[in-house]
Amino acid sequence: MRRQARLGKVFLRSFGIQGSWNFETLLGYGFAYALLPALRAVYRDRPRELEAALARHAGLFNSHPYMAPVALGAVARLEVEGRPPEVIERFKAAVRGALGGLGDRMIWAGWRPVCVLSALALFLAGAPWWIAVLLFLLVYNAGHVALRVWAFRLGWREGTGIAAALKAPWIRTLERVLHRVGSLLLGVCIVLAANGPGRHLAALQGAWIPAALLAAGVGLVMGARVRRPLEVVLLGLLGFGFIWSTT
Amino acid sequence: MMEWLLVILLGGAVGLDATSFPQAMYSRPFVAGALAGMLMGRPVEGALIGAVLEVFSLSVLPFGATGYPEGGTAAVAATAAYAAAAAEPDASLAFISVTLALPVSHVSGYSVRLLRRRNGRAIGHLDGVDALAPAVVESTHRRAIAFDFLRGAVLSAAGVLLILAVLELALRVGWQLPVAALGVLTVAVIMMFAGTLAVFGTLREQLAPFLLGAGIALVGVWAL
Repeated sequence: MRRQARLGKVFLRSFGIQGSWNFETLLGYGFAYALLPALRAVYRDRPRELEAALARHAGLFNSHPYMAPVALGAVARLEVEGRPPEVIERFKAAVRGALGGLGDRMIWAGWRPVCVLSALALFLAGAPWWIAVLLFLLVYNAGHVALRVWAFRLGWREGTGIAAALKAPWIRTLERVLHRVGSLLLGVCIVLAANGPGRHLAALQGAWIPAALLAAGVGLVMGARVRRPLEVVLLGLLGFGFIWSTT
Repeated sequence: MMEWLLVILLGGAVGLDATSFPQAMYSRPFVAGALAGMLMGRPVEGALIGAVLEVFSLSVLPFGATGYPEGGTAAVAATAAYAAAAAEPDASLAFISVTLALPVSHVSGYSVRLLRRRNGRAIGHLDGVDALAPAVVESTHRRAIAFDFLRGAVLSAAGVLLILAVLELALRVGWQLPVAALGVLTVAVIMMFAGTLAVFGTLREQLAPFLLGAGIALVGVWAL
């Protein structure tokens, strides 16, 4: 099999790298699974060494799933170059924190909420549901797949030298921009929600307007901690409805 | 019958997408709700139920090994149950479905933790091992993915049964949406939106773009 095809297989397997996620090795086992096509080529006629390499790579490893291709590309290259196992293990241990933190900030707390909020804003503004859903899936995954491709190419090209690329100023700038855009979209969505989402529900009126302003203030101060109390209030209202209906 | 089979398959695919494969985010509650609604012939209401659950999921960040509620399978269950119970658009039944989907999302999140423990036991053969057969790695990994699909499907089916049972009870006793409930739900959505700002940074950093966004939307709403 040609090298490009083998690397393509490693890349495709990276989409399922979290499939065997567990509390012992985190996504280490999935890392070994994804790397296997490359390892098979490196240790073609040496089954014992292939099994030993797999056991090494199945150990503890963590990363943001979209950034894991950086490590997969780099480790595939180190294996092809025949670097000693200790060097490869040191490299994996060194990059796992950076790949996790960067992906968390850029994707989970950046790209994903920005795309979701854009879709919600469209829907709340009255766009047909399928346009909001389709645009979300297309735009989000364009970024998702592009990031994985960039990450895998970066790892393969730079090998152990990926640190400099991951510290590039444009990455920090992109993060900042995503966070600002996300905050802006939140402001947009709040107003659209109060105005009656997509003409499916009525706009808030009367005493509900100051209540909504107060709620927004409480949400801004409390952050994500507002979820639990709100769940309790809604469940309480549901129970109250049943009592009211049966008495 | 076919539509229920498709809903359960969708639940499996949604559960799988959230963590295991391929993370294309059709597991987001907004998308999952709309897709379940489409399967049941009620896409707009599915998207609405999904949108409310999405707002509750926006601030859930799967950092590291933290446990978190799983909104996608809950959105599939809530939408399918609602579509089965409500012959026509019904705010009371939609409110019940959304409200019950919230605890269902916690149960679904707990099932993810159970699956991760199961995966840990399945790879227990790693302890002190210095050789691992490729076939073992591939089969163990693929089995874990299959279990995740199964988990999503079972959770969605169980969620549908639970929510549908409550909806049918509500129809029997003539449960009516308290007048204030829809207002409370809208205010809750607004509070959750505001609570999501912390995802992007501190209040001091993000207040200006947030207010700018609200201002732009106010002008747009006023102009239109």
